[in-house]
Amino acid sequence: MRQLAIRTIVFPKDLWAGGKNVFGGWIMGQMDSAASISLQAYLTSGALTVSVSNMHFKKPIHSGDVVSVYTEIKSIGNTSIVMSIEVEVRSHATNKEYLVTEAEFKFVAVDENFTPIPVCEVLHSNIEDEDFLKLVKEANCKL
Amino acid sequence: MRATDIEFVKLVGIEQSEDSVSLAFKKDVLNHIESIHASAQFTLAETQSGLHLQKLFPELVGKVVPMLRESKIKYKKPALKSIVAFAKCSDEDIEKFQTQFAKKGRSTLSVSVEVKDSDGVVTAISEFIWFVQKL
Repeated sequence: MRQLAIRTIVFPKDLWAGGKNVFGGWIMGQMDSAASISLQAYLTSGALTVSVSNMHFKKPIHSGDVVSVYTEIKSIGNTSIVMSIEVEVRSHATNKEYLVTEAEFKFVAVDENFTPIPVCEVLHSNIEDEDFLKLVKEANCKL
Repeated sequence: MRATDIEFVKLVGIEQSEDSVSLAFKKDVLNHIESIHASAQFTLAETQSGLHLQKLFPELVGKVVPMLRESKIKYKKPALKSIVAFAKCSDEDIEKFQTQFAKKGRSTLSVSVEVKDSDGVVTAISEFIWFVQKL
């Protein structure tokens, strides 16, 4: 299920030189934090970001923009989880949100020694998100 | 300009030497599992990619707007020490960029960036595609 994980506002300190557009690293940080927040609802273990792909900066983000970060889990592997993350900005003029950045993040569930562990072994027992439970079933996990 | 003049770069704590940028292993940039945060590594790599553009085309500084269009990054090992970023572009890509920029006043260039820890272990490999347009 696509869910809002973070809503925040851009400040001048978050911009590239010249002060016009937000730094890619700032957006990536928001996306990664959003992913962590979402993952904590499903996993009892820590998770490492192993890759970010298809990161498209479609439109610029400016100082003062209200930024919303949406996450959606796409698949569950043996030790990995793939999540689609979208960043939207709310237009002052129309009060509607439009897509500015999207990417696919891959995480691996790890133990305290950073060793990958099966996702099925570290799922919370009280998950109610039906879309996620469907993916759990597809991954042959037993809750 | 120096990367460390940029507020966000200062905020992350990135330091600049002649050819590279680095990030010290310190509490401010660690994640909940005590390795350097994925986004801090990304920011380091992105900064180095921008500086590399500036180094390749010093004559364009102040005359163009560079915009990051696309990127990808793979984290190879947890970053448990200070890290440094190194950037490169292929000669073929540079030539293509120059030809198209001369013709249209805009072009894209892909910059590959490797992040290594102080022992030389590669912690991340990444690619940044920049769109550069004349002012």
